[in-house]
Amino acid sequence: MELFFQQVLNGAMLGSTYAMVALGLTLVFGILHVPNFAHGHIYMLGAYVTFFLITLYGFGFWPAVIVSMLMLGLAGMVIERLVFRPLKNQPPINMFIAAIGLLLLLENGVIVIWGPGAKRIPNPYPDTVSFLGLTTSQQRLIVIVVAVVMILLLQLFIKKTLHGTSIEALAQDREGAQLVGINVNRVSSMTFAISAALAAAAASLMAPIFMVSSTMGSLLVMKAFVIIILGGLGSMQGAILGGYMLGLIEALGGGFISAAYKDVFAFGALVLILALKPTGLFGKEPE
Amino acid sequence: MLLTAEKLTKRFDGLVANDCITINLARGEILSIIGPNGAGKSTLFNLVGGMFPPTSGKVYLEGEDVTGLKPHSMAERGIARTFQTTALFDELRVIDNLAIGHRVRTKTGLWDALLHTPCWRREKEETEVKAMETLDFVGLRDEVFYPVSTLCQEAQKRLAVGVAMMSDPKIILLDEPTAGIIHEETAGITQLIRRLKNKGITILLIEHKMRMVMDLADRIVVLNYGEKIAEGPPEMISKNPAVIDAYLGGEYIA
Amino acid sequence: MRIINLLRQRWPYLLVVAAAIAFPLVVSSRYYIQVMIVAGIWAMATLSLNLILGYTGQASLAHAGFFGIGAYAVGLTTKAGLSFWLALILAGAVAAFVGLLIGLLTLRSRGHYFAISTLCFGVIVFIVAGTWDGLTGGNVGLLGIPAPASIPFPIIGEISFAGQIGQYYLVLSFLMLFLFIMYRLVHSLLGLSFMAVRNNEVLAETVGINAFANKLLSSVIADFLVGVTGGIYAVLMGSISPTTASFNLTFFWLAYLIIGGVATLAGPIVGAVLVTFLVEYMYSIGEYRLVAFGLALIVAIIFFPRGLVGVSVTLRQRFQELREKYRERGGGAGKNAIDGRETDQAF
Repeated sequence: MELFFQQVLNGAMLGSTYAMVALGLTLVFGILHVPNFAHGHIYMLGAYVTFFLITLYGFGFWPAVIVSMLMLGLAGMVIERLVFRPLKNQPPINMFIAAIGLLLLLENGVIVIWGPGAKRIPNPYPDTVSFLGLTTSQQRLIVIVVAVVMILLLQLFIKKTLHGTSIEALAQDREGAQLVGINVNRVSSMTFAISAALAAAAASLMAPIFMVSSTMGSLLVMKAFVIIILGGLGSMQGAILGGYMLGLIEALGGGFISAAYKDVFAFGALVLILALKPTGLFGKEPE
Repeated sequence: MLLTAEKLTKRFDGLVANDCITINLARGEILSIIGPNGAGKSTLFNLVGGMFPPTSGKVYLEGEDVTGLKPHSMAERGIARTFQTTALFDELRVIDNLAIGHRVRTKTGLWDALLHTPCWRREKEETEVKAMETLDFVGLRDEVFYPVSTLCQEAQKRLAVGVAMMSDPKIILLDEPTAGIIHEETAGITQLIRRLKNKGITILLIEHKMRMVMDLADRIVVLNYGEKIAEGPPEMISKNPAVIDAYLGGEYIA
Repeated sequence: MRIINLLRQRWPYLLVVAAAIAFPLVVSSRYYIQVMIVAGIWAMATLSLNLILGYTGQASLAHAGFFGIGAYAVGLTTKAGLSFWLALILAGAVAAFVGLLIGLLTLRSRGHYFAISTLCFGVIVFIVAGTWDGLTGGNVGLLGIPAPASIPFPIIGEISFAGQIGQYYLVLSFLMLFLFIMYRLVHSLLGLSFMAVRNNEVLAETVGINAFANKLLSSVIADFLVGVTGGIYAVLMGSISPTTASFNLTFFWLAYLIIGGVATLAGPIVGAVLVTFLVEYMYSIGEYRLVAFGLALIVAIIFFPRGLVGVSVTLRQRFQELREKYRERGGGAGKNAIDGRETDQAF
């Protein structure tokens, strides 16, 4: 029983990461139709920047996370402008190739700058917490809490602010949005910035628990794609729900069925589900 | 009866595009389907061609129930079609388009291609000869090796008809073959359609240009709001009050 | 007569082939010959990827998975004593069979969904290769894969594949074979069906082409070819590990393909050889190599979306068009080259 709840907590923590990363990806892929395969490496870069700020400049944990989010947000806008916007009229496979180029650039760039070894960020909340007879590390809880807060803030932003609703408008009807005067380029920029910032936050939160390495985002981005395809391209609720579900499935499956093959669950599920429903769980067949 | 569409109904989430439509197509005739925009003409074509299955109703080809068969199966059985917005393989050349049109009648497979078997040789020859014949028929001989994208609109429409012919079809569904063509050039397409009929091909034609329809059609079916409102020879249709009301307008002169 | 015609029209290609044959005899650096061998293997992988992606238009990202399946199949069977040549055919067959199953599962999806589905399969192969210790040796992989046995050959005595020169010619021979296969496929009604599916799947269906069956056939052929390629890789490297099936490989081949030119016969080879050599050449800048590659990839795709061979085809077309303008329109037949296929031979 104790193991079960431990795994549920692990799952919630993992799910928080997945949800934030998937959210960022569904904004960029589902709404802007950019297959940003480098998203996992933007996540990774966020962790490296946080690490960099803490160890080199002596930042505290939270200030480092916030600055990292800001910097990655900026990076996201630069990437959108320089890499993906020039390709918007070309077939999507070309954007995919550009994303791969970006991926290589980032993955090897961090090795060049910081060396190949994995890095460790000192855990700011090393203590454990006990409640209801369960013990867990504070950091794990922090991840969950902060993630939920950020997701809620994002939802508020999208629904209640003018900038946010313009993203929804673009998602629903690109041409219509342009016709009513929405500056698509500005919205694209902002969406990329949000997506990158979310990824940076997720990575920074996880970094004290797991290590920071140049490949920490490779498998993650693929799981994110799995999540958003199963959750519905462009659906934020789908990304969040899917993220937490995958986290739970992996933690419980890994804990009770097979730790070695836990990664296969997500990918196997995707292949099977798409085999049965070729347009995803919520997709519609284009007429 | 070559083709029978029996009580075909197609519903799209509440919109009834085709409501209980029955059409009988006799071998060798030109049957024209007319009606205002949105009447369900293209939907009917799609149902007959196998693009999507009907909500209810059946389609019979030479007595065989072909309802809901995939488009490539329909093509195999002898139904070819053209599209309103000219559909061609625009990355390829004219001759390639024609060859692809004939592909359904060939069996060249992997081993044939790799080993240049007699089958490969024979079907290559057969396709080339037939393509040339078809090019002569539609008047595009000179453009044989040109990329499709270099052809003008009207030539592309003639090519589309040629591609449809390449599969030796029993029936060709022509969906507004003169859409976007100026009046002077429609004569060429009209001639082409008449020559198709002379070749023994049965034709189902959607058109808006009334003079062309009245000239070509042996019989006309009129659709409005998804329903068949009239059916008969041209003279009868042009005098039908319901048709005039819905579609032709009071000033129409037969 | 036909030989003379062949020489006249295709002499640049024949020159390249001659250079390729002479390469290891002329170049003394073992290092560069090794790079060429690896480039040749990547070229084969890219050629087969071109079949599904370039000619049939399906963005299958599982390619490295089948490469890995072929590699492990050959690795395991040759270590168990099976002859290399039989093992190779087996590898291709296994890859093709798995490809058939996966194709049945994934080909009902289109576009992005299909791409992700195939990518996921590729990842599964990668993970399983690293986890199924009993079969694959886990993360350590397979070591000590024997080189193919020497073949007796007139004059020289025998061709040994333990040495570099033998290995080079092995790769070159297979590369030529693959090129031949691709050429015959592309210039046939079957290849034309593939291109029809790529160009306009709905129209292809309408004219009677079973798009699903053709997509499946094209991917099974490609999987067979890349499985064989993986098998060759296994014996030449002597050892393989899960990274042999890594999705990163698929991305690299995709990059070679796009850079070289999609849906052309020469493109994959140009792309693979060029990029592999460039990346090696940049050894002098050390760790910045892959960073530069990534950057170059981004720049290339933005400014040369049709790839190098694509650009040269376009240039050649322009050139022909100019020539036409100053020449009488005799028979009216143009000499355009589209998709690497010459006009005078249709299909």
